[in-house]
Amino acid sequence: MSVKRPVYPFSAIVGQERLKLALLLNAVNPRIGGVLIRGEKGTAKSTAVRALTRLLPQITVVVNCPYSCPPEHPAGMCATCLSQREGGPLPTTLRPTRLVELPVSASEDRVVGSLDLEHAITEGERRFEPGLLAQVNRGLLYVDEVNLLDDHLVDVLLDAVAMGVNTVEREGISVSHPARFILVGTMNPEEGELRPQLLDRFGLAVDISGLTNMADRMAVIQRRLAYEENPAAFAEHWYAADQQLAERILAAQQLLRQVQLQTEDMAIVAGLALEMKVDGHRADLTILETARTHAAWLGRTFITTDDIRLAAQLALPHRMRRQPFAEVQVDENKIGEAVERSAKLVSETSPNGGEQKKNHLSDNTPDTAEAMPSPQPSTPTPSSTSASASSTGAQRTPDGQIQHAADPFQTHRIEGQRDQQKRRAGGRRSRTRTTRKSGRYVGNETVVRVTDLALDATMRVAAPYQRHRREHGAATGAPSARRMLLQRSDLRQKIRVRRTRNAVCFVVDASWSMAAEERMQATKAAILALLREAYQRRDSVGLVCFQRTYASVLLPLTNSVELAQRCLRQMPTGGKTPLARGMLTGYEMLERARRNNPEVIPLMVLITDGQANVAMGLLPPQQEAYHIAAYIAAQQVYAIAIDTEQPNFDRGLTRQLAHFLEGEYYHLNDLQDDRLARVVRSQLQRLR
Amino acid sequence: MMHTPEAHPAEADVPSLPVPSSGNHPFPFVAIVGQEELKLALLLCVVDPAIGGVMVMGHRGTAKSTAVRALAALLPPIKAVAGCPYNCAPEHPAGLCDQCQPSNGPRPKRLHGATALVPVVDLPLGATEDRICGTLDIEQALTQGVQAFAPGLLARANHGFLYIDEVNLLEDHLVDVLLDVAASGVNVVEREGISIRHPARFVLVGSGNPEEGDLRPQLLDRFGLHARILTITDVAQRVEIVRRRRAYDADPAAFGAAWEKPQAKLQRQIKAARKRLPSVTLPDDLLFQIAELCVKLEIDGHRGELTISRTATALAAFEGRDTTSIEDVRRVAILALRHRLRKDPLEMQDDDERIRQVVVELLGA
Repeated sequence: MSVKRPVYPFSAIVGQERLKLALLLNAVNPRIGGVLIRGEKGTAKSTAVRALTRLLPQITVVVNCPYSCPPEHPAGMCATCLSQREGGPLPTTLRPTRLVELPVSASEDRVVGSLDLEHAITEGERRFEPGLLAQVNRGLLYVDEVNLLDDHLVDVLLDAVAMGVNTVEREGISVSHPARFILVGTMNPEEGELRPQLLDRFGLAVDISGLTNMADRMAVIQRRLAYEENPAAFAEHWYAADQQLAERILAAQQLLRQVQLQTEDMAIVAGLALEMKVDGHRADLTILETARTHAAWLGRTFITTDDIRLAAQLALPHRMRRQPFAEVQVDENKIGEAVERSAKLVSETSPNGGEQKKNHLSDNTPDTAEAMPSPQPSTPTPSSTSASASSTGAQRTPDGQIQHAADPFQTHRIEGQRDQQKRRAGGRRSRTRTTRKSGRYVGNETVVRVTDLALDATMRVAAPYQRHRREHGAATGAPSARRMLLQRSDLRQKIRVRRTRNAVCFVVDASWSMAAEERMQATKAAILALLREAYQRRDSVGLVCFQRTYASVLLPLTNSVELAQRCLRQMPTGGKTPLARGMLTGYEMLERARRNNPEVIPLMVLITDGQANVAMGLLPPQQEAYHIAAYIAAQQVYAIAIDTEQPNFDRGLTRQLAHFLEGEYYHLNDLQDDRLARVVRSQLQRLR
Repeated sequence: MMHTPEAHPAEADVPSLPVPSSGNHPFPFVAIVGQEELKLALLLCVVDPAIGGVMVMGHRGTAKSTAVRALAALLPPIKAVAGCPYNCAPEHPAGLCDQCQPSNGPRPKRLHGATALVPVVDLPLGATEDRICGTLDIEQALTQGVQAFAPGLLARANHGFLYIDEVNLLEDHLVDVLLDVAASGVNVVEREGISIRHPARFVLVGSGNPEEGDLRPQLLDRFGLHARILTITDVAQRVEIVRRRRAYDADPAAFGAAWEKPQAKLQRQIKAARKRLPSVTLPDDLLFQIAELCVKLEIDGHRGELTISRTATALAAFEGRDTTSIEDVRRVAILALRHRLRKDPLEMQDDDERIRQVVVELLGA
C-alpha cells in the first residue's frame, strides 16, 4: 500500500552506535517499549528508523484479521478471532513486523478508527472501520517530529499505550480491540519538549548529535552521495551486512528466553532507581528488560553490570527530573557511577553475587551508602530513602549556583506587597478554539449555523440513514442510487484549534544600580522554569537586557530550553539604565510575535529598580520611561513590574511604573527561587 | 532583479500596470538584472534538485516570486503520466504513486507519458491544512457516497516547485506538515476518513522579509541554500531595471521574443549540466576540507556538508567541468551554510563574514 521508495540500508549508517543499538534491541524484544530519538537536525534520526523496517523479524498472524491477532495467544486476540477460534484452528500467515507512520497532520478518526462510511450508506448499518491503531497492533508506530503532535492525538496515544487496547466510542460505534505496539519517535528538542507523560511511555531515549570525527563525517557524505546516485546498487552493496543484522536479531530473540534475571540484578536496578529518584516502576522494568536483551544481543545468557549500565543510560535520563542546567552528559556519567555503587553494595551484602559482577569503583563514596536500599528487589522501605530525601530541597547545579527543585504539588501563596491594580477586562484574547477558518481540524460539533462544514463528520452522521431516506423520502424525485441525502440536522461544524501561545518577554535591568548579578540569576531560573512547561501552553519566552545606552535581545522569543540554555550562558551586567529603550525593545519583540499570530497574548515582565538615567529622546529619562510604559499599556500588552530596589531606599519608582503599565507590582525579595516563574504563570493563567 | 514600483517610492509615478509575471509570457529569467546570488542558487537547484531548495531573504516587492516563476519557464518540460494527479514520471518506477503502480495488482504494461510543464505551486499563507495535504473529495462524497481523496497542493507540486512567499509567517501547524513531507518526500494522509500516501518530492522555495521574524530552525534546515537579496546600489543597474520592466509591461510578448536567444542558451546550459552531473567527481581531499569547514563552524548535523558537496558539484556541472574544485566550494559555502550557523545573540559578527573568514582560513583566499 505504499509508495515504493528505496530505503537507506541500516548498516550503512555511519556512527550513532547508541541509536542503532537502541533500535536493534527494540527489534529483538518489543517489551522494552520503544525508543525516543532526540537530536539536532540532520543527524540520521529518521533515516535510521525507516531503515530498521527492513530488519524487523516476521510474525505469525491470523489471516485477514485487521488487528494482526497472534494465533497462539488468545489473551491478545480481538473479539472476532476469539469467537472464530471456537470453530477450530485459525488460518495463519507469516509477514514482516509492520512499521506504521503516524503523520503529525493525522486526524483522530483515522487514528482510532471510525464508522465505515460506504457500508453504512449501502447497508444502512454501522460498522467499524479500523484505523492506524488497529494496523499497528504488534508492530511499530513511528511518529516523526513527535513533539509537534497535537495534544488531542497525544491523549489518544497515551490511552492506547497504557491499556494496550483501543476503545472507540464514537458515531454510534462501540468497539475495543487490541492495540499493542512499540512507540518510536524522533524529535528535535529545539522545537520544544515533549509532555512528560508521553516521554515516560518511551522505553528508551537516545540523545544524538553530529559526528565529530572527520573520517566519519566524510564517510557520511560519501555514502549518502553514493546512495543518491544509485539507490539500488547501494542497497545491493549493503545487503549482506543488513542480512547479517537481521539474522543476529533472530538469534538474539531465540537466546533471550534463556537469559535469566538474578536476584542481584534486580537488587542493583532497584537500588539504582531509588538513588536516581525515578518516579514509578516503569524504569526498573525497562532497565531489566533492556539489560536482558543486550546480553542476548551479545550472545550471553547472563547479565553483567555493563548490561545494566548501558540499559540504565538508555532508560533513565528522560525519566529523571531535569534540573534546568543539567546536561545530558552529566546524567550519563552520574548513572554510570550510580550503577557501580549499587552493584558494589549488592556484591558486598550478597555472599555469592560478588564474584560475577565485575566493577571498577573508587571508594570515596561514603555518603551515598546510607541512601542505598537493602538488596530486596521490590519493596523499598521508607526509612532507607530518608537520607536522600533530606537533600531533595536544593541541589547544586554544574554552574555552581543553588537551584531549588520545584515541587509541583506545593503551592506557595504569594503574600508579597501586591499592588492591586484594576485589570483591564482580561481573559478574552487567549482561546485555543478559533472561529476563523484556519487552524488544525480536530473535531466537529453541532451548531445552529454551519460556516465551516466538517464534511466527513456530516457524512458519517447521515450515512446510516441513507437507505431509510431513499426508501421513504422519495418525494424529492428519484435520486441516483448513491447520492447522499443530507438533512440540515446532519450538518456538522469543524472544530479548529490554533496553538495560542503566550509570549513572555523578560525585560531586565542589567545596570549596576543594584545587585545585577543576582537579578540575572533569578531571571535565568525563571525563564528556564517557564520553558520547561512550554510544551503545555506553547508559551514562548524571550529576554531583553538593558544597560549602558542600549538594549539587547539576549534571547529571541522561543520555546526551546536548549536554545535558552545556550543563549543565557552569559549575561552582561554594568553601566547605566536606559529604561525606556529596554521596554521599547521588549515591546517590539512582543508586537512582532503578535503580528505572526494574532492570538498570542503578550506579557512583559519588567525587572528593575525603576531609576532611569539614560533617555532615547529629549524628555528626562524617568518621564520618558513612564511615557513608554503608558504606550505599552495602551497597546494591550500585559505587564508585571518587579522591583529590585532595596526596601529602605524605596522611592516607589517601580510602583509608579507598574501604575503606568497597568500591571501588577511585586518586590523581588518576595519572589525568590522559582516564585518568579510562578507569579508569571499565575498571571498567564488569569489572562487566558 | 526587477523591482515593482512600490519598492521604489521614487518611481511611484511610473504607471503601474498589472504584473503578469505568470501566464503566457513570464518575465524572462535572463532579463533579471543583478542578484547573481539568487539566480545562481535557483539554477543550481534546477541542475540538482537534491540540493533541497532555496530560501530567499529580502525586502518585499523585490520580485522574488518573479524570479521563481521565470525559472519555471526556463525549465525543459517534464514527462508525466497522463492523468496522474501527482505528475508521476513514467521512466522512474521508484517514485510512482499507487495509481500508477498498484501494490496488489500487476504493474501497468506501459505508462503513457505526456509532456507537461514543470509545476510551480504557490502555497498561500492562508491555506488550510486540508488544501495542502489533500482531503475528502466533496463532489464524490455527496454524489456517490464514497470517501475519495482529492489531492492537495503537495500532490500538485510533485516533481516541481513549491513556492511559499512570506514563509516566516507561515502558521505553525502548516510548518509541521511541511517538515514532515519535505523530509520524507512522501505525503502521508490519515485524516477525515482518508488513508493514503503519495509521492511529494519538490524543490522548496521560500521567501521572506527577515524583519518579520525568524524561521523555525528545523524548517530553515530543510532549505538547501539560503540566498540574500541585496538592494542594488549601482545607478546604472537601477536604471536598467526600470527600463526593462517598462518594456516588459508594455508588451510582454515582444519582450520575451527579444530575450529568446540568451534564454535558449541558458536552457541548453541547464540541460547539458543535468546530463553531465552524474559524471562529475568530487575528490576525497576536497570532501575532507568540506567536512573540516563544517566542523570548524560548528554546524549541527550533517546536512551542511551534504549540501555543500552537492551544490559545488552542481556548480562544476553547470560550468561544464568534470571535477569539482576548491573554487566551487568557496563560491557556494556561504549559500549553503549561512542559515545553519548557531545563533548566538552575543555574537556581533555578521554570519557571512564568519563563514568567509573560516573559508579563507581553511581553503585559502
